[in-house]
Amino acid sequence: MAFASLSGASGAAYDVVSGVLTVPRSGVWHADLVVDTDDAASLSGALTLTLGEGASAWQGTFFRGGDVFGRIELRMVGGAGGLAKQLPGQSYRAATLGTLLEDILAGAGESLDVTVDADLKAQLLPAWTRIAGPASTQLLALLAPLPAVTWRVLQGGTIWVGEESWPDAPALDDVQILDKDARVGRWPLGVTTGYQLLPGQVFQGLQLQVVEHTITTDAIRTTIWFGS
Amino acid sequence: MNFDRIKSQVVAIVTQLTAKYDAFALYPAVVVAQNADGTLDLSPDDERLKPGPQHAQIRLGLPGASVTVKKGSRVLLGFEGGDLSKPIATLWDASSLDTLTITAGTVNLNASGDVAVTQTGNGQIKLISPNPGGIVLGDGSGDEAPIARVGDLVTGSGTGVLAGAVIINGVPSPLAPGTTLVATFLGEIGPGGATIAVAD
Repeated sequence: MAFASLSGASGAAYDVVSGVLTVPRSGVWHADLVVDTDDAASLSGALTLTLGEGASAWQGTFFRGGDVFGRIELRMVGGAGGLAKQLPGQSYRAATLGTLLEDILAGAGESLDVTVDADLKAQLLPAWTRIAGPASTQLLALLAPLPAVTWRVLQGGTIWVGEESWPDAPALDDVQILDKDARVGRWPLGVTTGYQLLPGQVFQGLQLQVVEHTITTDAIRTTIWFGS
Repeated sequence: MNFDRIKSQVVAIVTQLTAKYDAFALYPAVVVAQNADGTLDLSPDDERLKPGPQHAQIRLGLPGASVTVKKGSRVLLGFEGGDLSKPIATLWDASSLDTLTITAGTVNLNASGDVAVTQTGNGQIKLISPNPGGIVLGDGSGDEAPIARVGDLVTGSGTGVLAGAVIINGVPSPLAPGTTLVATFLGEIGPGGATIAVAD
């Protein structure tokens, strides 16, 4: 029984033979996967990566890949994969931050998460100039004057923007810390439900910056990176 | 190994990190309109910045000065402190100016300040120059003369022919009719009207 599966628009799910899901605290998560099928057509466009028998579902988009010796090797990215899209310039006067975020993301084919703080979205900018370029660059430029604000693609594929609140990570059963690398702030964990850990959470007093899930046919192993 | 793909990814990262520095550049632009509050609507030459900001503040570099500029004037568009929420217009070409307004109590025409234009409390304009005759008017041909002020003495003279006898204290004077007289007079410039009229 596979610990992870991948499905496309058709809904047909295929076992993930191996892979790595990397979830950063800031930016777009991505997964590099080897899938037990040669049906490349069914794994294009919108994809859903499911971990732990459906306990954790990740909505993303096919980025690059193809048939390798009868299996599909691919990279999927979180959300619609549109942040590299070139957007035109635009000038605004008396616009809210929310309007600017939604315009940029709509141009990229992405969606702003509904949990983005209303007060943050309501911030009024007397003027703003979007310089033509990648949507990600326009987004970074917009958030640059707000150093406490970060952004990332969530598990559901929408984009969250806001200040970290650092909630505690859910309690996990039978967690083993397999190693500790204090130089880079990295702990590989022995836990079967590590996919519940997300960047932006606090795990055993540590602020999680990156969470990586390594998928094999018989297990999912989680590695955390922490620190400032 | 696909170096082009790797290189393009590095380029993408560098582009993102350095994008902010685009906001520190000055971009040639055309004035589309000037608003009632003095701000400008601009159309940048750079396609990346089109359609261009509205209500960009003018930064003349001269406190107290304001301008009205011609539509179509060329300016440089910038962003104060690299902040894309603060578009400004600065530096003009020579043919842009319509009106220049200077709001200042005194305009010094030399470094020491003793040659100056000052607005007095009752609204008069005062031209000050320490040298006598230091303020002149002319037509640019080199024919210039100092300005006369209220109270300045003026002298003149004229000639005439005596038409009749001159009696002084009942005694006829030796001046006979037909005698040519040369007269000189002394006066001073009066306050005149509310405006200064300069004779051609």
